[in-house]
Amino acid sequence: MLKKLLKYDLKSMFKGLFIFYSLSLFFGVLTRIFFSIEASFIMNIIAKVCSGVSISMIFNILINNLMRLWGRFKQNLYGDESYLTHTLPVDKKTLYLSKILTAIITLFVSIIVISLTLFIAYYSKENIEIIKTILLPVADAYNSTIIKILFAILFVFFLEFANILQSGYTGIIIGHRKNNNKTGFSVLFGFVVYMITQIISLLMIFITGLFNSDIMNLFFTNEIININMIKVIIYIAIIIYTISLFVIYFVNLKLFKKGVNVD
Amino acid sequence: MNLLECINLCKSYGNKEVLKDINLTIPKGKIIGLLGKNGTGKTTLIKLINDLLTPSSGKILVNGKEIGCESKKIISYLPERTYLDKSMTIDKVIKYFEDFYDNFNSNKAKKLLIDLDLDLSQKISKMSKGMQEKLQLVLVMSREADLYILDEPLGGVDPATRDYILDTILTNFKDGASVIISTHLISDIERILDEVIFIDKGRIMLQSDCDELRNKENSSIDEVFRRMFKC
Amino acid sequence: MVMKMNYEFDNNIPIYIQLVERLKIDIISGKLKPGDRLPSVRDYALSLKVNPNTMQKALAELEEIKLIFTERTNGKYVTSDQKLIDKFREKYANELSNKYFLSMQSIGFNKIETINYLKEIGGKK
Repeated sequence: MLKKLLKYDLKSMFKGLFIFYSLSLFFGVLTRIFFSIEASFIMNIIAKVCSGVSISMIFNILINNLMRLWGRFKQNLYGDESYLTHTLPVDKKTLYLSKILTAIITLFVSIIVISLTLFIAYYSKENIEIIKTILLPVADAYNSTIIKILFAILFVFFLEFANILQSGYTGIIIGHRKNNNKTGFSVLFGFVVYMITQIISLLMIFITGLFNSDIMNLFFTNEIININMIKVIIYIAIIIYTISLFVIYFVNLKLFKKGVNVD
Repeated sequence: MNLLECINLCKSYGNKEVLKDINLTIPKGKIIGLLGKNGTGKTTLIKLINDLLTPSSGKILVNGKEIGCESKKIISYLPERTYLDKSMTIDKVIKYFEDFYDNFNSNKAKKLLIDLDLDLSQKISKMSKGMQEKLQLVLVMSREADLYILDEPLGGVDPATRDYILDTILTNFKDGASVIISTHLISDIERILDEVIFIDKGRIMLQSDCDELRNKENSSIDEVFRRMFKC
Repeated sequence: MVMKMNYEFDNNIPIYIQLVERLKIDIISGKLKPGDRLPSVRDYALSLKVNPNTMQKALAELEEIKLIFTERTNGKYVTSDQKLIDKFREKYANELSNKYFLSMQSIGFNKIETINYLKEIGGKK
């Protein structure tokens, strides 16, 4: 049954996101083309406009992805459609799992499309050099490659979004246990849960700081982040976000399994 | 074993008690009218049976087991609202039902829909509300279920549609299955009922065989109801 | 095989009693012929737009008075016993006549007057 649910969830999500994916890639290509045409004043303006649109499309993808996931979660499990969803012979765990997998898969695809757009629009020797000068010292310091560091950053970014998303789900689940103003409570609880994960993250970094004076300095001095810390922070971020994803997953599942009260 | 059983079932929202200590058994093979005025708890009871609400206390058993996957396989439920994803076409919705319900007879559904002159490649959002309701009725009645629960299927429809709905219910429910029909329009449906349940202010006031009740009270169910609740 | 008939039912009287009455009339009037096979309970019920359980009850009642009988595997048939049908016909005619006489009596016709009246209007038509 999970496969079938997933099929419908993904279809409905990608149907909405497809237009933004296409626009984003399209303007990425335009940006590239106009920048590569030798600079007349007008071409330059057009290129900058396209570049601006590409960047806004990228944000559009992220925001749309999140909003659509939350929207579908609410409509499918608590709105009109829930009358069908909850009467399917599928257990609650599978219903929730399908939503989470849909979130992970769509976020993953969105991040790939975003990376692709950036690559198409801005890939050039000079830009790579800029990234290299920023990241090479980090990579060198840890015997790593730039690619690995880049992937690590993207991964943290992905986890962060998954976390925001799932906090929203918690908000919707708890909010809809209330008897009135369900939407308001959903937003409130979602925000609170997200803040809690952030506070815990900070706390964890602080605790790590007890064993690592460099990190401790972050809290008490205005020093610019030094290279040594980046890797540690990335590691901590990955660990904490992963743990929090799982913890919230099980909490949500438990709350969800207790049953719903659909209007 | 009873098909459906509610034991000391209560439901409240905050301090507001909507259902009070409901005890109820539904046997196999009966058409049962769940009758009550608007806002007396009919829909709440039905939503509890379909896992859309969580009981405050008490139990619901379907074939002796608590509600869950197994009960959902054998209950076919028509809510009083439109619940389909409106961006889907009729074809897709039929496929959806086929995917999730083993007992869904898609040929029957298609035939009934074609009888309604519906174009199956049509989007649901393009259909009138009345048509959407008929589509849902057809989908629900095309399942070979053991229990059909129909919430206000006759609410606000014209007499011709009412006949169509009653006909569709009567001619399509699985042999030996039970049907629960909730309504406040009693005279329209009482001739097809085996049993009636009167519900008022969140309580079951009466459960009786229809013909016994007619004999005892020497009048129609509708009249018995009107007398009892003075409306 | 399924006959389309549109029966109106009176919600004040148990539906199965009305069904028994209707089917009885169909048999004694010859609408259903002796030895005719009846549709299955479900089909029959649906053709008359009634609940199959109600139809079952009505058919059981008719079987009780032997107007129909069940052949183990083949379904239900109208009795071939013409004498029995005639007997019910006679009984029914009697009941109707009595009712009529009673009604006439209530507006002041005695039996002889009623019969004369009947002859009179019968002759006119």
